[in-house]
Parts: sequence; structure tokens; C-alpha cells
Amino acid sequence: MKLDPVLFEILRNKITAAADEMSVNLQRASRSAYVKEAADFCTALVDRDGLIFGYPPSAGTTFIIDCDCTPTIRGVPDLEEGDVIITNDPYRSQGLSTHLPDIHMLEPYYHKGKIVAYGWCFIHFTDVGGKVPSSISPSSNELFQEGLVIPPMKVVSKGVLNDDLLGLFQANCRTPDVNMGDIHAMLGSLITGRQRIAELIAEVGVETFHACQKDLLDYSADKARAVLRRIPDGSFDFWDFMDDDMVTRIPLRVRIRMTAKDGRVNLDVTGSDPQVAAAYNVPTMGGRNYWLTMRLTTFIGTHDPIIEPNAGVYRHITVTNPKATLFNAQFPDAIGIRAAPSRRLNDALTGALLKAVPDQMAAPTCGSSGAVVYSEYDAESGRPKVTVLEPTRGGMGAGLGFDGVDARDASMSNLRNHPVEYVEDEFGVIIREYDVRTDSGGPGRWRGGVGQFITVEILSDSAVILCRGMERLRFPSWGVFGARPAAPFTGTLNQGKANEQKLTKIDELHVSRGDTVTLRMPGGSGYGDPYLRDPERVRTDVELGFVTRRGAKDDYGVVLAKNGTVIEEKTRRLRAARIKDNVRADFDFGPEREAWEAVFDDATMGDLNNRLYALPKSIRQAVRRRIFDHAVPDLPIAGDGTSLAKVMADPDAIRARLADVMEDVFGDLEGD
Amino acid sequence: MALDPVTLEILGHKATAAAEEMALALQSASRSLYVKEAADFGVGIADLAGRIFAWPSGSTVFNIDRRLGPTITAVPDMEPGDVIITNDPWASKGLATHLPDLHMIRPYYHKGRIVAYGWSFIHFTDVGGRVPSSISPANNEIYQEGFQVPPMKILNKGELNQDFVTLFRANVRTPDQNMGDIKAILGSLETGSRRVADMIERHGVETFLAAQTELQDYSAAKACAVLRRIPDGDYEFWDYMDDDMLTIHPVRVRVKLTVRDGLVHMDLTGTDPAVRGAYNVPTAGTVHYWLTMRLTTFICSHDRTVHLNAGLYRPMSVTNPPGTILNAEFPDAVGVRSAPSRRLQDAITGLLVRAVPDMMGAPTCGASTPFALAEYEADGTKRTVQVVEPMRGGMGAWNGGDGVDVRDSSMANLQNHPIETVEEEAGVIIREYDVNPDSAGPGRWRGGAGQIITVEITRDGSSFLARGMDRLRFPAFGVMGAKPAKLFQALLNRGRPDERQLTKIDTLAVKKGDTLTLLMPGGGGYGDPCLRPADKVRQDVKMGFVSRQGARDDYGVVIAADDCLDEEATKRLRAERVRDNVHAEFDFGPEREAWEEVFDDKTMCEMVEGLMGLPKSVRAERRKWIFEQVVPDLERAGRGWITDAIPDADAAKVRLKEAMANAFGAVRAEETP
Repeated sequence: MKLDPVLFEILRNKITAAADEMSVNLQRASRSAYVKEAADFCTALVDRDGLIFGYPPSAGTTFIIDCDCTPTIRGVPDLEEGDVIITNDPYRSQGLSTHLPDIHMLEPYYHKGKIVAYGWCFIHFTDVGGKVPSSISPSSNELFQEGLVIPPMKVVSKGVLNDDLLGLFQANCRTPDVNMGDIHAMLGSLITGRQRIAELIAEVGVETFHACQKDLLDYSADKARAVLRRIPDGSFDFWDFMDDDMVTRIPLRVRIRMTAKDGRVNLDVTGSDPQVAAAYNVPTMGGRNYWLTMRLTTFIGTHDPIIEPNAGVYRHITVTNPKATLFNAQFPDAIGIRAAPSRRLNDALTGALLKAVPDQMAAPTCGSSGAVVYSEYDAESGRPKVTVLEPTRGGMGAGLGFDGVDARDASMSNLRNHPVEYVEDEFGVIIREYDVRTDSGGPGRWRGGVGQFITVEILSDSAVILCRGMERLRFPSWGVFGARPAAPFTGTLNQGKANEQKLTKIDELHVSRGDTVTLRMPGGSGYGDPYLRDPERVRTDVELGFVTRRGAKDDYGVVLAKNGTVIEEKTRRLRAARIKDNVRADFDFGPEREAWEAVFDDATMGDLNNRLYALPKSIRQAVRRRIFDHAVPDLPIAGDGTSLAKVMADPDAIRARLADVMEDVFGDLEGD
Repeated sequence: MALDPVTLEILGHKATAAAEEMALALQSASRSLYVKEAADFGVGIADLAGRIFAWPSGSTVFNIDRRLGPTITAVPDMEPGDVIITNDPWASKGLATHLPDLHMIRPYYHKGRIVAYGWSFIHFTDVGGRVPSSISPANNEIYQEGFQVPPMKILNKGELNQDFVTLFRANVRTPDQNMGDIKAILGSLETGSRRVADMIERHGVETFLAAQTELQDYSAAKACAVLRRIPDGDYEFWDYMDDDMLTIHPVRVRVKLTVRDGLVHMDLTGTDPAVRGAYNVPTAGTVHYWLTMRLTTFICSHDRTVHLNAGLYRPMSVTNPPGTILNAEFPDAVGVRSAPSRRLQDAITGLLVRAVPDMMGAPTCGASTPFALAEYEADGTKRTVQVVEPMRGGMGAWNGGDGVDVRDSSMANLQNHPIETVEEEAGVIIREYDVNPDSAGPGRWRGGAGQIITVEITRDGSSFLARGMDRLRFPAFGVMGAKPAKLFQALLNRGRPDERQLTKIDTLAVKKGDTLTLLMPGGGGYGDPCLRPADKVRQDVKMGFVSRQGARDDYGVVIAADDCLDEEATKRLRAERVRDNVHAEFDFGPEREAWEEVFDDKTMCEMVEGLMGLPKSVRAERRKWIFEQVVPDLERAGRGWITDAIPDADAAKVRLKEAMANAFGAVRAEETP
């Protein structure tokens, strides 16, 4: 049944409003800063096939639409009216939840004894137990270290709270009171959704309601396909690198092949590195998943701003996701920071789209997040206190005709920052600086957005700082069509003091009174040759603090007078003197990646990974490590100041060692 | 109602038999090797106040001293057919003392009222957490140690709590094996229920209830009679753990025992504050089996007919200030709580030797090390965890007898795992499993020798975990002229070019072909080894407990090439010895002597007092800071010696004074308004 357009439009808005009201209610009732302020949660309405048909426009997490709730619903077969399902189990929910702090709930909505829809919501909880406060540590190597696992089960049974479950839940979290507040916020939001759906059905009847669900998905599917048709038919390959997997120093490669045909798109991640013995694996169960399709979500949403975000958007998208890659985690792989490789994969997808439709895609964003987690013991109760101090953000990529968004990377999720006053009031810290990071945006005709910059001073006698998602310490965001790479992520402990020390990726950093932690977030990428940027715009950048005078001169060839105006003559001369050969026509990946790929090129990595995929999982990582340790024995830690390009100065020698060790390793194994 | 002695005796035996049957039922139904073979589990029947009155004879004895009360009151709405489960050290107030021990309690009903409680626990193979097997000395918060189960119902009117089971299975590495063990416990509680019903049917409920109290009264009187043999007085002693794993500094436990006419009071003030590692004991400040263990064995050694029940502990009381390593507070990590407890028992051993030298032997080896292998199954997908062997050292000698060799049952009476089972179930080959020669403390009565094991790994991607490694620095001390025992040693690839001496193991990644060798320490000796009859030493050499070299160096006994005693040479050697080197009462070895040269009892008591005055969150850091100022060059036990790190004790003492003034003075100044 196709509804008439006017009725459809009315219902579409009502459904969206219902999802939004769920979202507003959840946020108001929540007790955790990460929900109240940063908004790491979502709500939606789900149809009987487990697909989202109503999504709140004000969502903080703008991309968690491409999910399938069916495995979770099937996990609780004896559903009755008044039940609510809970889960955070990535493997049993088959990728609905993708790490343990994300607790999901689903409530079946009934009409005359039959399920007509489901209310859905999730919250990223402050802490669900496990190895570290906040539950997320890059060095976790098993799901069991990452907190309490809740398989799909009933948190509410016929309207009665499951006290056994909640008793165990509270005993196994560091922040039981805050968490229980969030649990109740979720349950409240599901009640709101239930009431709105009941009202809607009372108004238009259940048949029309079901028809509308279907029409909504069809509507979005058609509109999405119209956008995807802009991609010319063909295959577009791209790959990008994470600095490392934290437990080794070896760069981690993700690879994507985007194949488009008449508005149907396949994303093939074959060739990406195998699962790691760290928390950088993505539990997609080999299917499509919001982490894989994120960049297409924003691509479609950008080019059709009035599209309804729902499961229909993905109808014409498929994935090829073989079992051995880190994008297809296998139980019990750790998955806490599944966002980091997903970000990188979506950078690669950005690259593939830039190849396909250069004028319709922006340069990549900063490619990193840096949620700063702080934990201390409450002096009176002795209980641990845990919070995200700030979900620190970098800049976004520029595009043809516009600069990147500064200090506010919303490419993945639209998290707000935490008010400084709130943070200082609740926890033993002072935020000494919280500003834009000058010169961090990728220089280009259109400038990449700059990152944030924060300095936190510790007041507590003993505390732990964690920072999940730190990336791009080694490989910066690459420049596009003549632009230069952005600034990498850097961090400093006790900046400006005698005990100043460079920070590399943080796992658990023990700090005490007087210590300061400074994080400088990377910028987004630029687009086009920076020497073609209007000098007036560079002048404004300097005036506003996005670019220094030095940066203006070195990166943009723009010379400013003492009074801040452009010295046109000197600028012209400087720009004319540049050697043209240094400008890359397509992508500028920076010297570190170029040096790495002089040995570990696409063909070599493809071959290596095919061989690694074939090994039993128990030894795959050990073999990978052995190969790289032998080939590049003095590989530096990303961000420690040692240049990879220097270590890789003799690629022939490394290639020879690589050949030796490959022969050795695989000769041995095949000999067995 | 006072029962006649015959009835009481009969009921005592019946109650013991009921508990024994529970134990047998549990062990034969269990699915995990650690229960089936090593027998790390317990059962008992408790009275209405939650005190144990029936205990299986022949089982692990020391942990009778436990209170079920707090767990029972935490679940107020009990009904017939309910069973409580918990592993929560805080909510159970020390019934459970680390998370792998899952305890269950079932109220036994008669005509609608509770007449007793069946109790049972198993040390489960894995309950989740940071490492396979859940126990790592490097854990620093209970949240890392596995799935926490506050007291709740696992059986609700006979129905299994499916929500609990779903969550439990999802949060442990070995769900099938664990469920087998849960059912084994439930079965054992059912067995107990039937036997209690039988007893009530035969003797009547009033007699049964009266017997519960009277059995405890009887044991209390008998325990008091043994304790009266200790002369009235105050006895002090202290001993050391090598370190807390996360730092490298020795950890001290201190005990003062006050004895008055068979009543003993244990004061643990002066013991070091809780550490960041998993070596904290959650005793809830009460008289507790981890504190009274040595008194239990002392009483039972000197009165073999005493009925094992909670009455034994009636003459005992403790002062145990909160926040020390022996009175842990939430959320301290507690996984390896047995290690500091062992050290406390060694200290109690020492003071009993002082008080009643003829009634108490030398200390045991002071370490027990169950070591586990975590590996992937041959197809590389599924991960398994298996305790390879619960490694044991030797026991202490006493006035008149040698220590028991390779079978330290001073704490728990765990059996070893048959090699065939281990090799069948885990990817290892046991290359060597033997007595560790010369490991025992040389004495007129020799300490028991420790075990030695060498295992070879057959699969890549495996890792070892070991808990309870200690005495890598401070050996079991010698008593009344005996010399200290040998130290714990762990070696990777022993005898190969890539041989490496290990320090305490947290998680040790190994590859195919690697070997791990553990040399367990021996027990302390008793009396001057040069007074040991030379022929006994010859026999020791013949049997492999002592090497020829050891016979000569430690005992002054020369064995000729034909394995006969060279009496002449022996006499000469023994006569040459410098008498002054023989320690009269205790020989603690050079490391402890060097340490105490700087960190003497008085100073350490002051330091503990200073630290306990600080907020808990900073104590460990401040303590570490002080030691770093004083002994900056100290290396981890197993890697370097204190005797090298403190070349000038006087200079170190000056630094210590400054550091303490700094550490505690600064805070006092801040606190002054």
C-alpha cells in the first residue's frame, strides 16, 4: 500500500517527532555527563523486521542507523507485553552493540496483543567494569577484559524490573548509581515511544501505520539510490593506515574497494589487516554495519539533506567482509575501540569517493578522536569515580569551495563538549586551556578544520587518565588535490616543566597532583593547492588564530605586515618561487607513509595478508609480528619523535630482510 | 538441653559423615580438573547463626573459621528450595575471599523452619576478568578480577535462576565446565539436606539443634586446653613477602599474640597497608580462617581427636585495623590473598616457636604456586585455561622429625594432577616432575624438600600464569640453629643458550618448544645441621633430597666416591666450623638481615602509622616513594639482591629519616589550618 503523499508526509513527521521526543526525554533523565552533555546515545523506532524506520533528527550519534535488531529480538523468544530486552553483547546481538559500554534496549510495542513496532535506544555507559575505569583500553585483548557482557535478555518482564540482573549489573560496574540512572532514563524513553505509537495508531489505524513504515523505507531507499547514482560505474580502491595496534608498533592497514553500478554500491574490505590482539577489532559478523557504511551515510545525507534517515538508505549497499579481517571480529576478540579502525576505513572510503566524484566529496577529517577519561577514588566512600572529561575533537576536511569545520569533527558523531565548569566542579581537575590548535588544519586552497587543544591539570593525589581513540600520531590526514597533510596528534605530559615528556598513545596514565596533560588534536585535510588560497582568507585565519604568521608564510606563501595586512608584493614573489614539482596532483600522504609504502606497498601487503588469513588465528598475530620485527627491527613508537622515514631510509635492505623472513616463516609453516 | 556424651559422640560422627558425603558427591560430579584432582573446594553444615558445626574429616582443614551469617542475612526472603550464591568478599564479609571461589548456601528446613544451612564452595577454573583463570598478582582493582556475584538466589524454590545462568555463562571463559561445577555444588547441598533429614528423623529436631551447639562447646573447651599449653605472655613476630608485584619493595606482616590462660588475642597492627597488587586479604576485620590457619593446625596437631567446627575459634580474638593488607577494603584486588596469609602464618609459626619450642616446628616453604596454561585449541579458535599443577614446596622440620617432602599441606591439602591427565588436556609435555634437591632448610632435623617441574610447550600462542610465587628473596627461616631453606626459582629454557631467570610471573607468553622450570622452595629446618647424624645425611643423598655438595657445605658431611660415609673427613669438617655463625634462635638469611639493618621494626611501625594517617588513595604511592628515596638501586626479587643495593646502611638510614619526614611532615603541615 502506498499512502497518499500528504498523509505520508504527516505521518513521517509524527514518527520522526516521536523518535525525537524519546531522545529528548532520555537525555533529560540521564545522570551521566557523557549523555547529558556529549550525547553519546540514540533512540529510534524499529519495524517488525528489526530495521529502523524512525530516527531522531537531533541525534548525537548521526550514523548508527544501519543496524539489524533481529538477532537481539530472536535471542529472547518468549516476549510478552511489558517486556524490555537489554544487551551489550556484540557477538550475540550480531553487531547491534559493537562494544560493551553501549547498552542497548528494545521494547516490543503491542497493539491488540500483536507486536506492531519496537522502541530502541542505547547509551554509552560511563563504566561497565573490566580491566580499566571506563572499560575501554586499547591493550585489552579479549572481550572478557572489557567489562560485563549482557547477552540479550529481559531487563523488564511484564512491567517488573529484573532485580537479579540489575543486582549483578551494579556489582560489576565502577559507577553503579550513575549507571542505574541511565538505565531508568532508557526505560523512560521507551515508554514515551510506546505512548506516541499508541496515539498514532489510535489516530490512523494499525494498517496505515504498517504501510507507513514500509513506505518510509522505500522512500529513503529511492532517494539514497538517486544520490549513489552520481558515483560513476566502476571500482575504486583506496587504503589508509592506523599508526599501530598499541600492543605492537606495526602500522595497521585498512583497505577498501568501492564498486558502483547504477546506484548500487559494494564495499569490499578484503586486504585489510587481520584481527589484532588488541581492542581495535570491529564486530560486524561479516554483514553490513553502521561502522562500515558511515561515510556513505554522510555522503547521502549531504547530497540529499531532506532524506529520512532510516534503514532504507542502505538497501542498495552491500559489503564483502571476509572472516579474517579486523572488520569482522570473531569471539572473543576485544573490540573496545572499534571506532578507530572504522574511522580509518571511512577515511579510505573518503579517498575512494574523491577518486570517483572529486567535486562532491570533502577531504578526510582529522581521523582521530580523543575522549579523555578521568578516574579517581572518592575520598570518603573509597568508590571509584569515572568520567569523560572532554570528548576532544579534531577538525573536518575541506571540500571544493569550502573550508573544513574547525575544532568540531562531526563526521562520525555529533558529540558536544562538556562544559568546563561542570567538569571542574565534579572532578579533581582544572582545565587550564581549551582552545583551537593553531596551524593544525591541512593547508589547502580550502583549508582543513583545525583541531582542539586542551590542557588538564590534576588536583587529586592519585588518578588515572585514559584516552581512547588516539590516532594519527604518525600518519597525518592526507591532503587532497594539491593540499598538504594536516598536523598529527601530539600530546605532552607536564608541558613546560622540568619533567616534561612526550606522550605516545595512552593506555592507563597514572598521574598525581600538579601533573598536566596536554592534548593537541589533529586537523582535517585541506583541498587544493594552498598557494591558490586567497591571501585575504589567510589573513583572516591569522587574525582569528587558526593559522600563525609563520604558518601563513610557510604553508600558504602569504607574507603579513606587522599591522596584519597582506604584503602583496612579497606574497606574489614567494608564491612564484615555489618549485611546482613538490605539489601532488592527487593525494599527499606525507613522508612517513611514503617511506613505509616504499617497502610495504599494496601488492606486498595483499600477498602478506592472504598468507596470514590462511593461518590459524592462534598464531597469526605472532607470525605477523615476527615478520615485521625482522624486516624493520627498530620501528619507532608512533608519536615518540623518531622519524619512520629515517628508519626506512634503506628500503632495499628492508625488502631483502622481508623476503628472507617471509621465506623463513611461511616455508616453515608449509613444511609442517 | 544437655545431651549425654554418647549421643553427642554419635551425632558428631553422623554430622561429619554427612559433610564427607557432601564432599564426595561434589568431587565425583565436578567437571574441572582442579576439583576432581587437586580438590580445591569445601563443604560444611552450619548452625542457625551460620557457624560451621559439621566438617568433613580428611578435607582441607584450615578454612573452617568462616561466617555464613552476613551472606544469609543479605538474602532475607528465603524459602524452601532456595540456594544462595555469592563470590563477593565485601557483601559476604569475608565468606568468599576471591572471586573464583563461588560459595552456595542452602537453608535446610524441617516442618517449615530452618534447622541448619548446607554450605559448599568450589574454586572455579575461570570467572572472567583480565586474565585467564581470573587471578593475576598485577590486578589492582576487584573489577579486573572477574564476575562479581553479590549474595542472591541461584535456586528459587528449586528452579534454576536462568537470568543468572545466562549472565554467568557470558562472562566466564569456561562456561560449560563452570556449569558442571555449579551443578556439582547443588548436588552436594542436596546430599547434605537428605542426611540432615535422616539425623532429625532418627534423633529428633531438638536433639539435632542441641548437638550443633554442644559440639562447638566441646571443641571450644578442647581448643582452650591446647592453647593453655602456651605460657601466658605477649609474643611478637614479623615476616616479609618479596614485594607486591606492582612495586619491588618488601611487604611486611606483623603479629603480636597475647596469651592469657588459653585465650589468645592476635593484634595485626603494624602490618603494611593494603597494596595495589592483588595481595590483599578481605577478612572484614573479624577472626578469619586466613588469620587463624596456623592456630588451627597447632590445635589439631596437639589434639587429634578434636571435632572440627567453629568452636575451635571461640578462644580467639583479633585486632585488625582496616586498610592493611590483612584487612582489605573495597575495591582492593584480592586474587592472591593466600600469599600474605601464608606469610602471616609463618610469623605465627615463629612466635609459637619462641613460646613453645617443643610444640611448634619450623615454618613451611611459604609459597604455593598453582600455575595455569592458557592456550588455543589445536584448530586455533577456542581458548582454554588449565591449571597444570598446583606446585608445592616442603614443610618445616620440628624437634624430633624432618619436614614432609614436596607435599606442603600446611594450608590446603591439594593433590597433584596426574601427569597423564595434564598432558591429555593441555598442550604441554611434563619433562621433569621430581624433588628439588638441596631446597630444604639444613638442620638437625631437615626441612622438607620442594618440588621441581619442567614443562615443555607444544603449541604456539600459549601463555603461562602463575600465582602465589614468593620467597624469591626471603627464604623460609631456620630455627634453633638451622640454616634457611633455598629460594624459589623460575627459569625459562633451563640449560639452553636462551635460558633466562624469571621474576614473579603475571602472564608469560611462550612459544612452541619453550620450557618452563619451577624450583619450589623447601621448608625450614630445626636445630644445628652439624648435629644431624651423618648417616641420615648419607641417606638423604642416596634418596636425592640432598646433593653431595649440599651434604658437605650444609651439613659438613663428606660422602666418599662409593657412596659411603667418610667418617674421618666428616669429623674434621664439622670440627672446623666457626661456631659464631650458628644462629641460636632464628636464621633469616642475608637479605632480610640487610633489609632490617635499615628498616627495623620500630621504624616500620612508624612508617605504617604515618601511611595509615594518609588518605587511602595515596598510601601506596607514598610508600613507594619513600623506599625509592632510600634504596634507589633495588632490583626486583629474582633479579638483584638487597645486599648489593644497600652498600652503606648508615647512609640509607639517613635517607630514610629524611624521606619519612618529607612524606609525613608535608601532609601534617598542609592539614594545619
